[in-house]
This record gives sequence, C-alpha cells and structure tokens, in this order.
Amino acid sequence: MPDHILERIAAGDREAVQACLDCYGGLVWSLARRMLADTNDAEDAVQEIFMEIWRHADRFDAAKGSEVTFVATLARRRLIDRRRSLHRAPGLESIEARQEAGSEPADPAVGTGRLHAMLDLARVRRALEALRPEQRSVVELCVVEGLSHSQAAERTGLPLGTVKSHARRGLLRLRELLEEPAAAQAGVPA
Amino acid sequence: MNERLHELLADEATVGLDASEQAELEALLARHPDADRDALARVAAEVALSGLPDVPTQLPPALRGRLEADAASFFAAASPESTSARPSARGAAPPPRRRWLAGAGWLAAAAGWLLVVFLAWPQAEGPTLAQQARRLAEAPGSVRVAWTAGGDATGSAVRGDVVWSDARQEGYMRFEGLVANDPTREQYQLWIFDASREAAHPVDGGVFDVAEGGEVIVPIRAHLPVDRATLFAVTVERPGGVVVSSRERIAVLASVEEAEG
Repeated sequence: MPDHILERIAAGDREAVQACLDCYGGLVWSLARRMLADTNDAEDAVQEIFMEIWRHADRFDAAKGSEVTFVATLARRRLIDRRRSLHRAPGLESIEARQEAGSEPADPAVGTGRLHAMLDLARVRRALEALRPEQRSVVELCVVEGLSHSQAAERTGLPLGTVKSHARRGLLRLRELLEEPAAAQAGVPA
Repeated sequence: MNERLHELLADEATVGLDASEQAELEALLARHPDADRDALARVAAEVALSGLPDVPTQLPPALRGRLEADAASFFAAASPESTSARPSARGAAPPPRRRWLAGAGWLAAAAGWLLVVFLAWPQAEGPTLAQQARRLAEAPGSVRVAWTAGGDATGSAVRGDVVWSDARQEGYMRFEGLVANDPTREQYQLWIFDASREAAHPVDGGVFDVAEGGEVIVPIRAHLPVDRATLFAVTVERPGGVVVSSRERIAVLASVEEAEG
C-alpha cells in the first residue's frame, strides 16, 4: 500500500481522491483566491489544477520534497500562467474578505490538512527572517501576495530593476537556507 | 550555473515568463541538463504556503462536487475497459467537432489551407529547439500541421508547421518567412482552439517576436490545459498581447482537424 496519497492516485486508487481533496483542496483553493481576483477564475483554476494532479500524480518524487510542496508547486505554476493570460492583478480587497466570499469557513474538526503537520512552516519562516529586510519584503509581495514585479515596485517605492534583483536573489538565498541542515539554519551547531 | 539561468528560473517561480523568456530558458536548460528546474518553484511554493493560515479555507461545496465529478470522469476514462475520451478540465463532454468553425472569420481564413504545400520537417541538425521539436513530432499521438496564410500580410509568405502533443502539453512552431515584428509596436500571439472549450475562448499560447531572416522555432507554452487541439492561429496584437483577440489580423493558421481529414 503506497504511503503517499499521490502514489495511491497514480496507482489508480479512486478512494484516494477524497483523501486528496480533504488534505489539499483547501490549500489549493486558498492559493487560487490569493492569486486570482475573480471567484469564477479561481474555481476554474482549481478544477484545472486537480485535473493536473490526477494526470501527473506519478511525477511526485518524495526525494525532492514533500507531497504538499509538490501540490503547491503544481498549483502555483498553473495559477501564475492563468493570471498572466488574464492580465489581471490580484484583487484589492483583503485576503480575509476574499476567503469569506463563497466558501466555507475553516473548520479544524473537519479532515482538511493542517499545514504545520504537512510542512515545517517554522523552518520556512526562519529562512524568510534570515533574508535582508528588503529582499524579504519583495519576496513576500511577489510570492505570498502574488504581485507582479511592477506592482511590488509601486508598493515598495523601489525601482523595478531593484525589485527584480531582490526577488531573484531572495529566492536563491531561500533555496540555500532551506537546503542547509535544520540545526545550522536554527543557529544550533550541527 | 549560468547566472541568467538562475534569473529566469527565479522569475518563472515568482511571476512567470513570457514566450521569449520561456524560449531562452528552454535553451539554457538544454545546455545545463543537470539543473533542477523545479527547485526554485518548490521554494516559492513553500514560501506561499507559509503565508496561509494553518487550517486553510475549505473548498466551497459546489466546487468540491465538481472536482469529485471530474475525478470520477478521469478515472473512468483512464481505466482499461473504458473507450471514452479523456474528460475536459471542466468536466464537460467535448463539443461536436468543428465547433470552432462557428467563427466566420476563422473559417474564411482556414479555407485556404489546401493551397499550401506541406513541408517536410528539417532533417539537418539545428538548434536545440529544433531537436526537441523533432523528437516531439516522432512521439506517439503528436500532430504536425503546416501553416496556412491567415489573411494578414505578415503571414502571406510563411512556410513551416506546428507540432503539438495533447498528452504532453508541449509544442513547437516553426516559421520561415513570417515578417519580422517591432516588439515596441506589435507582437505575434498564438491561440490554441481546444475541442473542450468554446470557439470564442481559445487558449492563449503566448506572445512571441520574429527577427529578420531564417527559420524561427518558438516553443508553445499554453496558459491553460488543452484537451484536444483543433486549430492553431497566430494573430498580430499590441505589445504584450491581449486577453481576447479581435481577430482582425490573422497571420497564419494550422487546422488539425482539416489535416487529419
């Protein structure tokens, strides 16, 4: 019996669909709502993302990252493409307001996956905190809030070229930090 | 590793790439086969996840129902005993063939395809993209269709073809004679008509530029999944492309359905 949901999906286990939607449905929906202003666009995108998950579940490689990271990587790629094709920016309303519109509130009692159980979020946040402040700010604007380089430049008041540089170097630095042994990143002798 | 490769991979992971940047990235990756293409995308994904609440918002029930229906259709189609076609991303039955022909402008332009001589795919060695395109053309299930003039002067002397695989969601366009464009004034934009989508809403295949002289090969990066490509159309649009084409300037067309007879 495969350990991972995606391995079960790849093996044709239809019962794994419910487990997959329980674990990853909420987070894919949340990512879509952050990156796409229009609810219909977000719903279409989520359908496309899960179709890709059904088709490409066999590409998951546990040696390269966690299952939730695989799902989020696939989802973000599709969302970025869709946003570029729509030529639209994320909405201006608050994330909280968008989350409340047309969706159920989070209910920890339901079997949806808790992120901290699937990914070492503290480690990611420590890595972010290790960036230079301006790099961290730009990375968070572009990746977490889903702004374009131009929008991030407007938001921060930094020149566009500087924003691009911070986004690129910040991401590369994050990769280095996340590839370090955990103890080293936390400042504890390995 | 190449600094430009790092830049493009970082941009792809954070804000995405346009068609020319995509082509540049593919060329660099071909020269650096050991590069982990998804490494920065995984980092960006984890950063994005770190910005979500620990218990993400639940799926709307109606959307979850559609996802379950999509999955049921997918697994039914994928099972060995099934003979049905793959489902669309939207879970709807594919529309009748030639639905795209509803657009009279496209029909008129596509009608000229028979007059065009089909060109053999180049046999000589070429740039990496040419090799990739050739490999794709030889893959099972892929289609290769010659371009036909679309009515706009930019495409009146075009030769070449498009190779595409629905299964791989990968494709390449080859042009000779497509008029060079000034990217500050206008750009070419590819549209992919999909049997699973309304003809009024073809999939945006990205914008690209053509320089003077020689053969040009452009990788296709469809912005949405394409279930069954029926027609490829290249239009001339304002810099950066458009969301919906007015279809006033159609450079070239390649009809899969007509080619398959």
